[in-house]
Amino acid sequence: MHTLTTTHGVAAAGIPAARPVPSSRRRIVAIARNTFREAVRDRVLYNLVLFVLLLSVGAVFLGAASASQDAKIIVDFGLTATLLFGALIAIFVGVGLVWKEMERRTLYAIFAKPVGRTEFLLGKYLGLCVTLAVNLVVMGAGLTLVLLSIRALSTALALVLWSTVALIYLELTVLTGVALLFSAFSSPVFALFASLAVFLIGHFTADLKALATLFDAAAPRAALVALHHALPNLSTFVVITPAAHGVGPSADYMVTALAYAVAWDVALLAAAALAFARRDFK
Amino acid sequence: MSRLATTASRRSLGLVLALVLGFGSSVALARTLDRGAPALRVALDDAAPYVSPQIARRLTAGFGGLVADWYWLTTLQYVGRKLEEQTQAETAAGRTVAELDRIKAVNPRVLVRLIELITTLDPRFTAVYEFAAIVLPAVDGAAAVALVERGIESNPDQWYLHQQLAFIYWQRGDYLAAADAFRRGARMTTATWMEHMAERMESRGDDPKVAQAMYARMYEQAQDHQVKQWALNRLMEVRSLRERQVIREVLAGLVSATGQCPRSWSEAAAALRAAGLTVDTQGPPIDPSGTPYVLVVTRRGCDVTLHRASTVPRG
Repeated sequence: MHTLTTTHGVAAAGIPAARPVPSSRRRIVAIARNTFREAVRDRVLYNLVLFVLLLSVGAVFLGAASASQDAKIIVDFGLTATLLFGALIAIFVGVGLVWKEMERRTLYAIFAKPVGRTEFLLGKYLGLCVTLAVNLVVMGAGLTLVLLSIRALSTALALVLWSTVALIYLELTVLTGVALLFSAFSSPVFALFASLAVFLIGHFTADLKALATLFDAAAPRAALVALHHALPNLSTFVVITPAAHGVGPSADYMVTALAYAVAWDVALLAAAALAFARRDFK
Repeated sequence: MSRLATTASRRSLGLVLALVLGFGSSVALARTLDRGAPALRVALDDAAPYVSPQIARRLTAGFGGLVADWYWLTTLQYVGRKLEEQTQAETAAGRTVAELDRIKAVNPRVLVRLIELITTLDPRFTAVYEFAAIVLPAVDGAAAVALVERGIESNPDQWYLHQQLAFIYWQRGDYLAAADAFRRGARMTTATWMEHMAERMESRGDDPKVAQAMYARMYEQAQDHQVKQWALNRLMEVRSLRERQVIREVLAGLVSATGQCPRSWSEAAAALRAAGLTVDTQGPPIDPSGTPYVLVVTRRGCDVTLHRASTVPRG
């Protein structure tokens, strides 16, 4: 039987026509939007309340206890909290992105529609990245307000502060990729531990390279250098200590860090997509 | 009420009781533990951090600044505790309150280790060098010099650290080294006062006017209000020492003119005013803290001293 589909999607012969399949980009955006909504529904953003509370209490008490170093300590404390809160969200929510859909069996309903596995992963990844961006913007704004309230904020410091927040965000996108990769092929418990391990080791990879120089033999030296390159060097994105003294990363550094994060994001998502494509959901 | 509901409410009551009992006893136990804590705290008070600064830097990865802040607060608490202990001891002995640069009770091993930890984790934390330059020389001058030199090396743009270094040398009576430190600082700034200080250090390092200029600059540059207050106290002390010297000269002049000591300040008021001192309407000269000086008349002669209520440091 022939069906004539009009531009309004109604069959001329009165038989409902199949809806036009949305483009791949729109499918990814739809999944990303749902992931963000789900994160909000799951009260992920509630951590902001705790963050604001910590900062406010810190601002009140540190002024008296730190011998005029309250601004430095608030910046150190605020940015470290921003990174740790963000990292915990990226890892804990990241490892649950795939697993929750499987647990609730909604994954089958999604794949029954014209949604590819790679699109699903990309959508999930972008959704969590948006959640993290909202989180970081609010945290950065909170920190800025606290510094304003103690009259310690200059334009230069604000610039340094937001550059540092931007670098933290880049680290979180890499961490989200790591969590997604592990959750694409393993159990949530393994994915959680492996992601936490990458987060910890990622801040020490520079030491692996330094350690390699201590060996005379080529084999262990090459192994350590290889390990250094096999793991993301997350310490690249942490410039909190200089930021507390008003020293920020240069524009060149920011661009290189952005390129480094994008390179890792692409590699991690590609690996996750490859692993996810081979995963058996039966 | 059904039997099931009664059992449920009994269970709830039991749980509430357990909660109250558990929480209540934890509060009571915490109080008992706190009572035993001072002895334990004394034992731990002088325990230096066991992690070496280099290892701490490796372990903290990119979060060195926050850990440095933690150790900074620990250092302030440690010094504050020692300052309080010494103040209590000196007040009991009838002396004046202890000052930041005269805390002998501080364990140099602990303080040096703490400051080394902080400055290794965060070498740009300049307030720490400032603090070390004032507190540390009383117990370990060499360590104070080494720390501030390291601070200068790590912060080549912070010229005022040279002033801290000059202060340490000046306190030790090494005026040439102090002058050298000022000269090194002068090369980094367009402010000419550092060069002037270097010249004065070389010619008359022990001059009270040099001391006054030194403390005035320390007061101006201080980041910490505690250090500012300390510099202000030292300025009061230097000014009071000079005033007492002038008062003694006035009293000596009166004794040689009349053959006897004045019986009260009112008899010396005109001469004191003429010598440029601030004099109360009743006659006594006023010290920099706003308290009248005390006239001491004995068989051997007359002298001036600070009033018990005066906040001018007594050295």
